Amino acid sequence: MRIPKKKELLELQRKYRTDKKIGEVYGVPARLVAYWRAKKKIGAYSFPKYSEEKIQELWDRYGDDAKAGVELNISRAGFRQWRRRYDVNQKPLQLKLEQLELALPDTGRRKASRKETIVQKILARKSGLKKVEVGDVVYIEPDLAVSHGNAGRVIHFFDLLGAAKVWEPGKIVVVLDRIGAEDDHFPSHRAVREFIKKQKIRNFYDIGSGICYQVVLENSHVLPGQVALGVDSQAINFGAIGALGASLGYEEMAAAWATGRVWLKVPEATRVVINGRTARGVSAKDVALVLRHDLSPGNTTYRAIEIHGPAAASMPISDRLTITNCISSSGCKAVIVPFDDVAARFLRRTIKARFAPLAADTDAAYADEVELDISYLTPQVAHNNDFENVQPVEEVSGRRIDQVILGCCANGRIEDFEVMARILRGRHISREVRTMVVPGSRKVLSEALDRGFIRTLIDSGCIIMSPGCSSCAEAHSKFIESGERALTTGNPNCTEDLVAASREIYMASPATAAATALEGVIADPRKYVK
Amino acid sequence: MNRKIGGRVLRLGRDITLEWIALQQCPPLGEAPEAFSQLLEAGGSRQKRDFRKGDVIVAGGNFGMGQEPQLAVQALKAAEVPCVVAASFARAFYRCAINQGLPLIESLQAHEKISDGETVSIDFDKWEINCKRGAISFPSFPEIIGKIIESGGLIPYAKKSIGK
Repeated sequence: MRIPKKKELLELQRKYRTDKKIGEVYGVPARLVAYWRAKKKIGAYSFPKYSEEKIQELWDRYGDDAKAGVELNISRAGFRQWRRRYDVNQKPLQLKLEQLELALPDTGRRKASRKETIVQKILARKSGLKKVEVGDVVYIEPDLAVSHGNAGRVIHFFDLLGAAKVWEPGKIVVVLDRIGAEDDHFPSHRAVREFIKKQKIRNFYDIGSGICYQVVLENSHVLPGQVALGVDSQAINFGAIGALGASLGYEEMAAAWATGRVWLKVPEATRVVINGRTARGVSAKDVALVLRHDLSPGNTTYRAIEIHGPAAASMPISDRLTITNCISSSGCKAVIVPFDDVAARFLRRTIKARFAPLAADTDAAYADEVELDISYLTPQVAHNNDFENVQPVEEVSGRRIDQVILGCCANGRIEDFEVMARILRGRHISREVRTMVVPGSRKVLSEALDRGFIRTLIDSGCIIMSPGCSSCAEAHSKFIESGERALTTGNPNCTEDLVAASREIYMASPATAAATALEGVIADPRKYVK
Repeated sequence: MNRKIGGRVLRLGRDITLEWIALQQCPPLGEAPEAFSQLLEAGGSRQKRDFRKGDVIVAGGNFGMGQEPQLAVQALKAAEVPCVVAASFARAFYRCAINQGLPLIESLQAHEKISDGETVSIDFDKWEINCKRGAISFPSFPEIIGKIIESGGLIPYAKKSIGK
């Protein structure tokens, strides 16, 4: 075999860089190439990937690390390192055409962007189409169909259809989180349990497991990029991990159980950008209340709401769930927080399954954009489900409260328990106020026990209820009498009946609720938060 | 489903809610069209409207907002409303109406061009509405919605598709 000349070796080195790769060209081990180099006095590779001229030229052209990086297919930080290496620091003097561009060039993606939102992408993938347009109707197989305490109603319609078997027992989840509707027309919980046994539905959670959507997320039945259906507006909560959660009627759920298909309209999307950082004592619930106030029906009706922005990206899943939960009553089809590291970490705790999240294109076409800066936000309170009337806690502080309800679906997670326990530790709630705590799920309750939060809450005088919607409904309806005022961390779903029965009810964050429980009047939590 | 329908028009504004029906403040609608007029009035349109059985409803945006869309659709069917034309529909109402086999047409133009009380005919083969001020075309139903409406609702359609 011919030994390559020095010139040839240099050329190959410039092209392939490593001995191993050069060796592959000749079919010899890297050791031999190194030996040749030593003989011909060629050092190890020293040609940088990008020359100084190239970096200088790109810098002059764009004057921006991110944009220049896109050209080389490297990150913003990557380009900055190259600049440091060559000491290219001066801002370009002349503005070039590229710098005047308003739109960022396609960020390193090979394929041309198709201007799609997350929901469009999810529905396109599910329907097997390349692209779906807003307004299209797709007929797809869902990844998950969730029914709650009213599963009896779904079974009623399922029997009407005359189907013998459900489409796929593994994709159906039933969580009995509440007592079924109070009439005799629909099968009871007993009939539901029999149905579950007969149809071999494995994912069944009997009473006491917790609130439906919390249980489903804790057990990772739904994954990012999937389509999950539910029978009430709370199905939207699946959006907190980057899935599409949509709500259906009982009939439709029965048809989905039987046929394994559902029709969904591709909605327009509203982009919500949350900027800034919350101050001490201000939580995701306050952000949610203000956001719900800022969103008009025009922004939300039949829309998918995508939540972006640095503040949203830094929120843990529990906070994201609080936000999706509070927006669910706004008439939107879905709320999605794009999948990111936070969601990945949350999922890694429970599962090892692979999943395929989807992100919106950077130039996706949104029907609307709503921006929210939360830097100067103070704790907020909403009165009687009226989101026009969300106001800072200072404006209503001092109003007497007869009952405080902590937890529920909007704020019944371990992180919320931590906040409440921190405020209530070593203190006793006011004798004038009843305080009930509804954990989101059995898992939350058990973790709160382990971490001593339950002990703190009991010692300070709270009543601990069992996890689930039934006890939440009970706390919200049975104990509040006419002429009394209540403050809850729940969402509009929980308080509907109270408002209909013309009781006064306020909605606030766990911190505000805990401070209120201590004082017996609506109180600002910031003085209790260190 | 009838491919050609027609009737007198009842023209309404935007954000019409039918949730009063759910609160059962009236006798069943099929029997008392006057009650239905009152409901529509309470639901957001300004003056009392003269509703007759079999009227085509033409409305502005966000038609059918509010809770209990199921009952709202049942009421419309009982009142023999053959079709609702609106600039846009609330989501729950849209799903419910399609699943119960009530055809809905989304058209902004129709709301602008059609006036109250005139007679229109709707052709589901040519996909156009014929009114005094000419023909207004609207997009054809997506395949699956066409099939569901054709079968008279989601339950009959699902029955058919599982072969019962």
